[in-house]
Amino acid sequence: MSLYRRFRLPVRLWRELEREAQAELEHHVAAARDAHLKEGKSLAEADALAASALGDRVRLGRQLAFFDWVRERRAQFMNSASHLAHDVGFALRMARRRPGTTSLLILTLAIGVGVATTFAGAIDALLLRPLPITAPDAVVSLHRLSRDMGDLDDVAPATIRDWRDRSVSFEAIAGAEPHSLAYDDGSGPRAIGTWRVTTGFFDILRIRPIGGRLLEARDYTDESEPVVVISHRFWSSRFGGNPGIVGTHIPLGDDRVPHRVIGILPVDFPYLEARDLYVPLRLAGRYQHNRSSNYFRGYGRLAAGVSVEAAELDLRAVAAATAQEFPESDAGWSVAVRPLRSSLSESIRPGLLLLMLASGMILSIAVINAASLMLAEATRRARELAVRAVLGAGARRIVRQLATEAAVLAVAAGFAGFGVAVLGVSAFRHLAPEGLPRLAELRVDFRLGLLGASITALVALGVALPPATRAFGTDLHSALKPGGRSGLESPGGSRLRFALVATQVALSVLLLSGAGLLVRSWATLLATDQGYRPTGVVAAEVHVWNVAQREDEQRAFAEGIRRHLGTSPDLEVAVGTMLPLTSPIGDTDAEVGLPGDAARTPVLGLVAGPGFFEVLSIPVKEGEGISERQHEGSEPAVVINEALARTIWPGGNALGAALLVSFDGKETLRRVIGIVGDVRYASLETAAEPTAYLPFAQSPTGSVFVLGRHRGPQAPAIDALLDGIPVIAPGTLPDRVVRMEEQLTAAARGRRFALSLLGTFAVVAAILTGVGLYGLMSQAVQSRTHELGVRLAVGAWPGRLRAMVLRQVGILVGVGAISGMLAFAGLHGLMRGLVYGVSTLDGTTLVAVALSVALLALVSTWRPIEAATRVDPASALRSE
Amino acid sequence: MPGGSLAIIPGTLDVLILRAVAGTPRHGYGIVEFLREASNGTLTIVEGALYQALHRLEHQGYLTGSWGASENNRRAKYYGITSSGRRHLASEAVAWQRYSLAMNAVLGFA
Repeated sequence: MSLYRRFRLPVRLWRELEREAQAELEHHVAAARDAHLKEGKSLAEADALAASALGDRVRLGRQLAFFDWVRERRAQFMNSASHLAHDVGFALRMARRRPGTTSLLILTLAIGVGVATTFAGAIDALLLRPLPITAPDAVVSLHRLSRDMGDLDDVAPATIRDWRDRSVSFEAIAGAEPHSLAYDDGSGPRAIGTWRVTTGFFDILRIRPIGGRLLEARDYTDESEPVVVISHRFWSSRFGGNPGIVGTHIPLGDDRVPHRVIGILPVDFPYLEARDLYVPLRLAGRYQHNRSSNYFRGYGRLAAGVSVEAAELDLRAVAAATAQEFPESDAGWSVAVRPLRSSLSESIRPGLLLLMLASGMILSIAVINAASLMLAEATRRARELAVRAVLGAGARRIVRQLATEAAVLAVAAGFAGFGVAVLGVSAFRHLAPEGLPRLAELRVDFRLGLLGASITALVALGVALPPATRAFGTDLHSALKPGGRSGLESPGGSRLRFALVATQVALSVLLLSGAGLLVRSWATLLATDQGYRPTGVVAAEVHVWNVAQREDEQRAFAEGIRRHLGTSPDLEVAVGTMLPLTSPIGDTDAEVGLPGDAARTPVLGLVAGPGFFEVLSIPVKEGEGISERQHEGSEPAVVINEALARTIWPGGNALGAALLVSFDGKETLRRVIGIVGDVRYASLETAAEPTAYLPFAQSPTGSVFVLGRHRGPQAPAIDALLDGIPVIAPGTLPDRVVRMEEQLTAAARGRRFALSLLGTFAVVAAILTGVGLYGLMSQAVQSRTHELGVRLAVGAWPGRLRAMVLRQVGILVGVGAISGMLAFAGLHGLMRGLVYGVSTLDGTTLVAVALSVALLALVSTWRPIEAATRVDPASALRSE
Repeated sequence: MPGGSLAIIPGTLDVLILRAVAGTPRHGYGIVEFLREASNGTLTIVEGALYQALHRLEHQGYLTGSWGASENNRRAKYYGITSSGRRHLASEAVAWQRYSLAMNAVLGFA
């Protein structure tokens, strides 16, 4: 088979084959016709006979060409397949000859691939993948938006009704109210987290239950029997995953009303905070006009063809109308509509993308190491390659060989890397902040495998490319001369290696800088005074409206609790409506102003009973805290925090002043009886807001936290708390139990996660770069053995040689580090969301990074530098 | 010879073709002519099958094809035998002889 034919494109080949076949058959017909003519037949007869001899000539020609084509293609394939088999065999033999280098290479590549795959998978599952519901882009979350502060808030039930009745952009709108229902499985009643959802809620999401059905319109009528949809978690933990539970009744609520279980939700239901029970709620009766209880979550499904922006405008028009009709509740508020998918992931997106970038950098560093090593390998085999090239293998063949080696390496790394990714995925799920939406969707599946394979392919390309491009520059003749250099050892080749390692240094600098910033942020955060001490503080949320509707009853409850539980020496108890890092009970929006002044300042308002500050260890800076001295009959008092004092009375003199406090619909003139330290209620990072504490006795409420600080072990303290409450308020079950230390840990979890990840990346990057530096300098020194030998022979001090090599290292690392710093200066904005208390261009961090890189360079190149000074001049000169 | 022409027994076409070009290269029509003459008119080939076989034998390496001018100055593809083709022809011919002797023997007895 001709060489020419071997490389022809299939289409050209086909056309040529067809032409040939036709020509052959043409001749046959002509020859047959001539023969007939010679026998004496007429021209017409001869033509006819000849033509009929072959039958359908065109078809026959095509058949001939087709089989020829198939045979040819098969031969081509077998040829390249045998080449491939040979190349792979060769690659494996080479790998076996250097097991140490090869396994190191595969290991570093596997780590890079595994980490990159893990993060690609995380981004895919958490950010990119559409929600597993029908037409996911049409599902939106609806929020109240305060005009000035720009916070996304929950809404009141009447607002949900307004939206539903007055908007035109939605197929369905529904609300979900957080609630709890008592459930007794035999071991005593416990409050179970519940969502009360309005009609159409499940229609919005259009998910399929794994058993039974979901709430429908028929469950929302006057005659409907009480029904409940349960979560997957509730189903598997309480009923052992028994599908027979559907249709049976479970008693829910304080009155143990039997609710029929009509359906079970699937495992992946991340759209709301996890609560176990879903019951219908009709926006009728007292809900119809309630515009002030803003704790409903709003959801909607956009009508066909309606965009998010259009829907937002629509609802804003509704909001403007209601602001006019109901100014006390709705003035000053607007509406925000957000796609559900992004609102779920908004908070974590910047961090996740950053980590993805970081893992990409690690992968690049690993790939560069592999490429450098391959370059070195190719250099070592330069002569052999040159001989092969001369014998006709051609540059193409060499490139194919190198590419195959790189591919074999990459495939091995890909498999190992997938193993790393499996570990990575489970580690990610374990360490990620709890309640991260859609975390359950991150799992080892086909998609992850696909991601891993794509990354592996990129790696193969990255590893094969540098040696391949150098191989093309092979100057054959000079390579064959004694002492000759091939293209791989030429200045171009070593320049390439230098550039690669400098890139590694730059990437390491980037990662180290990022990690350094996070470390400083963490340290700063730890050193920040939160304003309270969480050690030993636990609390239970209770709602005692059923036994204490009147204010005096509520006061009695608060006093009773303190008396009953406070007698225990290990437990100090108080009541309050808010705790740090915990979602508050009721409204916390308050306003204060000076009497005679129309200006009002929005502040954080909460109600606290005697002992509140003591339990949380909030220091009283001036005056007194809240105690029994504030009661119903005494002058209305308020305790403020330092931030509030500074805001209203910048010159001091807050203590004893009169302050108008507007809270919970009432405005009263109060006297400032004390100033306490600032407390960060909202988050660890946000500075404390101006806060006003109203004495419980003067503003009682039936929904409070009962908090206590215990000195002994935690569990008995919590039990005492939970047992004591029903004693004072019979039939009351605590809604949730909060452990302050856990709240702190949970709040810091995201930051700690990012820190440990980026820190690990930076360390791994530094190690890999160190390895790269070592490899490069070793090879550089080795290739200059001759030159170094000469220098030593003519009397150079070893010190000078050391300085020479050191200067090379210095230039390399310097260029790399400076490029890295410049790149960091360009990218530092990405860190903005993650740093705390330090600027993204923190000088200390950058100096520390520079020093670390210098240290790294010295440590990794020490041995090669020393080797340079120990070259034996005699043998070096002879080695050529 | 008495009787009409016979169709080629499947499996024997290859060896016939090789024999046809063993002496001198021929083109497709020439092979048809040769076989007709050499068999005294008994054997006729289906042209389609012939050309399929020619291309196949060329791919297998038993024949080599080259384009040249035919007797009437037309462009034609000539097939010649190769050394491996000769070897194949020899072994197949021997096999055929043994087979036909065996056939005759059996038929002779029956």
